[in-house]
Amino acid sequence: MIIGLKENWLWQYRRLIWRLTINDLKVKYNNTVLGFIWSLLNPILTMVVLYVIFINFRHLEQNYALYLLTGIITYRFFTQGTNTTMNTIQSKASIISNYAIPRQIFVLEKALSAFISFFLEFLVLIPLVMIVSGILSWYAILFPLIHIIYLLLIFGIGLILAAVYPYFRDIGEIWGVVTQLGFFACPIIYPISMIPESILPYYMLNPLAQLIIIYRQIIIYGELPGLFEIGYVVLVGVALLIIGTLVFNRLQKRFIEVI
Amino acid sequence: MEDVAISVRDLKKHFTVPDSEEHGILHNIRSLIGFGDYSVNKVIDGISFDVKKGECFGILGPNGTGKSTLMKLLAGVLFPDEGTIEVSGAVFPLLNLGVGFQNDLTAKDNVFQYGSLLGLSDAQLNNKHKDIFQYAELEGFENLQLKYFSTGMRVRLAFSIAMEVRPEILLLDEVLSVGDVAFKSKSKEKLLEICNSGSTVVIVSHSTATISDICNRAMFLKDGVIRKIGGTEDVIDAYLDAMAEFLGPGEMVPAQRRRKKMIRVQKERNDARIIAEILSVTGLPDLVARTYGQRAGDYLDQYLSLKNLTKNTHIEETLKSITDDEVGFGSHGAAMVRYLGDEAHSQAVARHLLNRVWDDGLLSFGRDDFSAFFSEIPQATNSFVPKNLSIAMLFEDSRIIPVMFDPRERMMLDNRSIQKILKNAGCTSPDTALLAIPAELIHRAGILSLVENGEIHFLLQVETREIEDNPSSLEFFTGISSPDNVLLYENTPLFARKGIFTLYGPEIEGFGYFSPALFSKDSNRFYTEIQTLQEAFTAYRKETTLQPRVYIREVTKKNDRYFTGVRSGELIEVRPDTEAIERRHRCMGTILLLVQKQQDPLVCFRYNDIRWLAEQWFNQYRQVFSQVEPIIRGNALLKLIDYTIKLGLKRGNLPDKLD
Repeated sequence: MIIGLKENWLWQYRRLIWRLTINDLKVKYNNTVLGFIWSLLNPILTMVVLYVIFINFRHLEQNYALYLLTGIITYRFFTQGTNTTMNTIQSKASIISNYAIPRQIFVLEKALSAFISFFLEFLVLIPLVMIVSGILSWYAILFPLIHIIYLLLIFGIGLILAAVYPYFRDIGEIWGVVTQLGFFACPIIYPISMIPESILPYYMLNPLAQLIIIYRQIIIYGELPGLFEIGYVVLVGVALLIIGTLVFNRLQKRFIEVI
Repeated sequence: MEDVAISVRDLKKHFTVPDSEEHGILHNIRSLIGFGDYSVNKVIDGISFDVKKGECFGILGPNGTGKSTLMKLLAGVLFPDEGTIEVSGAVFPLLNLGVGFQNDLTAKDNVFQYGSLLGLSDAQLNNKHKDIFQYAELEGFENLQLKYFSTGMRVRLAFSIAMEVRPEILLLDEVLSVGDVAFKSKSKEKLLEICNSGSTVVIVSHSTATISDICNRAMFLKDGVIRKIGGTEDVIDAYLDAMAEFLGPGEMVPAQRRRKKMIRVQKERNDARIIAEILSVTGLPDLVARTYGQRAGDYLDQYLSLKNLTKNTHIEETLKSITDDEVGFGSHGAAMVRYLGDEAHSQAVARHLLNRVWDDGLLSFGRDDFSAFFSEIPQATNSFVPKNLSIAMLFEDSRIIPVMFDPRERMMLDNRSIQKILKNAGCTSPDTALLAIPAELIHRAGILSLVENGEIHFLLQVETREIEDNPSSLEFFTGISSPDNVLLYENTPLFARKGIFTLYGPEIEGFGYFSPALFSKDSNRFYTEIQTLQEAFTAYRKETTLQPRVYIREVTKKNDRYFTGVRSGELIEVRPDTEAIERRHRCMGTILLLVQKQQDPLVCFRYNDIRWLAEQWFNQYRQVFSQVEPIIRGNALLKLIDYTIKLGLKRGNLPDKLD
């Protein structure tokens, strides 16, 4: 089995993973006064700022505010998910050096905890905005499925980052730049129509761009996402997961020697 | 093979150590792809061993020798470079207590998280979490965030959770070395329980005592290779020898000292056998019970197990009739309480004893004794809550170190807290603190300990013989209950009465002398006392083959506050130049009469012990006794005892003359 160590760790340790995730969320939201509210305020404030700056774009999209918000939240999961997973080995150093538990669990814990907070953000914000703007799409119920595909992607990348980070800390800085640039390489603030025809095929290779479009399709436009696009994202996700697992399994053996 | 739990073959593990100091990106990339200026540190260098199912296997070794690495390899946290590790059964590594606790979570959440990390199922945790809090004595704190917990509370909580796990193979790494005595004895008990339940246990410890108590087999690891593997005692010997080598000639590691003590205790048990033999021949249980009081129980246990006999009912009855006040403190008291047989009775006595100590507000136990109490009579001590902060004074480097026991935490207080308490009580230093404590209290507590590097080696224990005003009496040099106990006289509070105490070490013995005159401004009084004492000693010397050295420290104003500060290390080292000793002791107020032993160190106190018995025994045969040549009385008495044993003589059937 590709994912597991010997047996299926995912099943074997499901309770532990769940407990760790819940506790991680508890700690995350208990430490700030407003807790979960911050999670909601952050994308809204970002949206407001960007809306004001790029106010010219609003004519290009029907509902630019909602367009922005969907993009921002979707991308936020990516940055948060990858950044927290990258730190896994460091933050769990003592546990890792004392318990013979498959270490992927902790990467998954971080990814899952980001997944859940992101899920909640979506659950609260999107209906809110939809009610305000009057857009309502039944395809939105597909959202959990897409979301899980997204998790696959995050977990795959997370495994790679988490495995490399203890050996090569610079990746933290590098990744910071990558996620910043990525923000602009995805159709978050601008409409796809702005991308020149000639570059578009390459542009669409970016699975994140695909994901953002898919999210918008089901939430804003009320369209069924194309099977090919979904297939492509799943494929990238699985590929990343396989690569991630291989890299992780190879590098994990010396984790406690370097942390 | 079926009965092998862990099988290790040609195991090798190395770590790379960078030769250069670079820490930049190049360094990181190099380490990622694995080349560069590195030297290889072979931590585990090709070892093979098996641990059988149900075995308790100990691993000993100096620091940095690969013990922890090996444990981590066994636990599956680290991975071997070469060789194999085969494990049959679920491994439960307990390398540290409380790893995985999260400060921001409540205690209850932490119990569930930590429990899950240790592999407890949800059902188990749901069922057991109340018991866990109860066992940890932390009921009512379930919803408190862990960050508000004290260290002691955390450790107790972690331990309680860990002990819910019933592992097939348990790996322990020095876990027992945390916590106070009560906790240690509790955890040791639990560990023995696990060992006896058929689990396989691998334990790493620096404590040879722990290894010796718990393990069936052991391994001595040094520089990544097995130096010795086999029976526990052999391995411990090899380990201690190697450690002593490391320290240099003449030095002994504390464990070695303890071990010497153990050997002495074994010798002492031989004495016990002799006495028990006499007892069985003469049938004088009452006499033995009263004479040997506190040790009788111990002796009898030894003897009875040797002879495969059931308990001697006479003795049992005598012991039962012993009133609470007759039971002494310390390990002997504990042994005696154990021997009382009847559980209710022994618990009552133990509780009484403890209350007596705590009511005095002073800790009257050495740490070992205290833990002995906790392990001997857990029922009595579990329900026991001391009333006050308790204090004991320890000596360290010619200074008095107070030790306090906090009843709420069941922990020894750290130094800073003690200083604070003392300061609030108006004491500027521990020394003055001791002086500030009423002599009566010290008298009642009756114990002072010698400490070196935080370890107690000697106890000054109060015992019940009056010092006679005539110091030339040989009664000065009466018995000592065990070689590691140093003795004062019970009715001789330090500052009010005079007192002789005796020190025993493997090589020498010493006598010390306390006197209130030492603290008076009139130093002549002190010198007069010393003079008489010297005379007494000279008289004593005439009777013995021992060669005494006399050392007297002068009284000066500068240090007239201090009375003693004998470091135990010096007691076992005989230095040719008294100058050096003098410089080192710096203990005004104490005369140390150091006697180099040329005989078996046991002869002396065996003599003292047995003499008393014999004196009672032969009281009605005074005539016979007076016919004995004025040789060393002890030797005569020993001969008597030998006779008794050899000839199987009965009371009233003694020879008229001894040769």
